[in-house]
Amino acid sequence: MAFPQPNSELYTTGGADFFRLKTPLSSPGDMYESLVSGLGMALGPESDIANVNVAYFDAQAPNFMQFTQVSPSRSFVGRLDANNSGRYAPAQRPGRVLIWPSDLYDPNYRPRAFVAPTDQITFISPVLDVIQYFSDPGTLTPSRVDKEYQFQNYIVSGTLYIVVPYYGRKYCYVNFTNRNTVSPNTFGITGVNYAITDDSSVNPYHQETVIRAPAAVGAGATVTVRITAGLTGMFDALVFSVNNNGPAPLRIVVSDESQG
Amino acid sequence: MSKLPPLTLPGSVANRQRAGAGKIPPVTMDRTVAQAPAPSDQVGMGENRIQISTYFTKVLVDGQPPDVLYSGDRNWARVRVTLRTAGPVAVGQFSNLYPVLSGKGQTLQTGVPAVFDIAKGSKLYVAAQSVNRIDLAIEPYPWLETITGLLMSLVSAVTGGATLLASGKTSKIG
Repeated sequence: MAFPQPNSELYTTGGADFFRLKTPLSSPGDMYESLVSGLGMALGPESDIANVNVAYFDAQAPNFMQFTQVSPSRSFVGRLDANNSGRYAPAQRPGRVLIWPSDLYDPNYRPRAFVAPTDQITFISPVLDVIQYFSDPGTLTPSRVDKEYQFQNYIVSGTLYIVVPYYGRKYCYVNFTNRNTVSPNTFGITGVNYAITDDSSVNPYHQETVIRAPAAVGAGATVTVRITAGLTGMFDALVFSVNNNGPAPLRIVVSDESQG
Repeated sequence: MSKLPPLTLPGSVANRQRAGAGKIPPVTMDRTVAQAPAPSDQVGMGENRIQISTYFTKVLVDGQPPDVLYSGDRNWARVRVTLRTAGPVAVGQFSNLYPVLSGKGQTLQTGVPAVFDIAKGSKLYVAAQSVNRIDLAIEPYPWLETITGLLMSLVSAVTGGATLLASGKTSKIG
């Protein structure tokens, strides 16, 4: 998580009409809070997390805590009160607005084929981006921006795995070209859906779907892959693997649009 | 024979002239000098000035009285409050506003100005359960103070005279 956390009260006193919680995730249990009320809650444009849980004070609920969820297809328009004078039961914590990702994230994930210590893995930390509006937003269409990732040179001893967030995305365009004039580069793509599991066990529960089995890409050759929700599926993350330092430009574009 | 005190009011013209406010500067008889008086270098009197500010509510600990948004110790005033954040914020003239949504005060609506005429001697309280931003404009009514003072003086004079007449003594007002 970003430190210090974005402070909703500073947005209030600073004259803003919204509180934007934009922070990279560092662990699966990250939870954030807003100390002020809002009249609308929506996903921010740069969120990698697709589904975000929101808890708020509701005197009609047995423990005074009520839940809702926002996603790229559904925002929440209406008053969500932070009741700092009230207390959630039974924890007796102040009745603030609590925000946390509904999607799973596991920075300790390792692919099944991962061989320690020669292989390496690197994560693009998913960004949680949520906007809480202080004035009535009318209607909200919380579309996320398309995101583009570009890699070119790699530091590889065995196989390098690159994990890119893909929560709720419906389309991905992958373009990989081996510009090493001598050596081939073994390139693969796997879709991962995280599970709640013990990563130190010999049988972690994460699900892996091979989208492109690792195969050598010859010098000067190009691989283009289109991943669609309809044909390939939906994943929490995409894992790209290479086994050569490159240069090998890898362009990845992810989008919420199904692109036909 | 009793005599009532002269009828003078705090905001009367005589008092203002004694204080120097609104005094017309001396006019020269020299025709070569412009006759228009120089603009006053004094700003408006404090009691006439509109107080415009931004107020931030705070979360109070249980049992604490709500904050005073305006205290009409000196003046009648028209207080205009506009909530700029989501609230909920309640305002009212009694200090028992909590809980905010209990209905003991009026709940402000975001972006909609609410106007209250606050009498001298009364207060406007504000209560919230989170930090909120409120645009606040306090427009004093000095002339209303004058009118009420005049009315009270007249009432006092009339009732005093009536009392004297009823007691069979002659009176002289002023």
